[in-house]
Amino acid sequence: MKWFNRKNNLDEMQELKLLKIESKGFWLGFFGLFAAILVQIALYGSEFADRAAGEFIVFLGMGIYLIGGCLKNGIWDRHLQATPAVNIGCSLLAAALAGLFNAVMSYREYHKIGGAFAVFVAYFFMLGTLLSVIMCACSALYKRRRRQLEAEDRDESLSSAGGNQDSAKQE
Amino acid sequence: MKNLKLKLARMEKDLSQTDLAKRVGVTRQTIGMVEAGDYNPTLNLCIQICKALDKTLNDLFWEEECD
Repeated sequence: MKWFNRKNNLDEMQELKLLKIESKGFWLGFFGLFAAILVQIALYGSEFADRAAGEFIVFLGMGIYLIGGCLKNGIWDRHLQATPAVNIGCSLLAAALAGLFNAVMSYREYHKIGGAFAVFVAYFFMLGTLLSVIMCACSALYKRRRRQLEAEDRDESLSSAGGNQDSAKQE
Repeated sequence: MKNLKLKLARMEKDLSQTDLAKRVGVTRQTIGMVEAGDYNPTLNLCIQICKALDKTLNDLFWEEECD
């Protein structure tokens, strides 16, 4: 098969560029799905589960893959620290946004400001607590994995340092 | 920052970017980007370039600090 080559046709610079393109494509798909789900919730209300089940499953799968991959490799975030304060802050922010969105949806459906406020409060506290617990559990897993990886690296550096000493003695 | 040392070493050997690219097994675009300072090559590629041009890593990739 001449049209398919098992060997990589790309050099390192092209490989890096392709990875960046794929990365951007992934995020485009991720946030595109998120936007599609939000639009379908806004359009169809409680019927959205029937209509957007596929998108939701793919979105969930992408999220789980991302979190699993990062935790496995001891990676948390480029800018945020894995501290309880940051975790709880981010969880409450996400809960507030979800609460606001659902409050608007509730007001649109029932036209009751009190009900919408209750929806916001319920989402804020319940989702905020749930997300805080999940974030803190993930950050604990991340810290444990990072310690494991650091310990593995230390063993390798010790053995290579020993190897260097041996070669220095031979010289 | 442009890598003029690499460009000069390549010209001393009378090689075009395409020739050097063929010798080290990358595309001409990659050599062009390394010379232009738009791409930081891996250590492996640096070593291959040095071998192809009979230079050391210091000769081609070490930057002296400027005051």
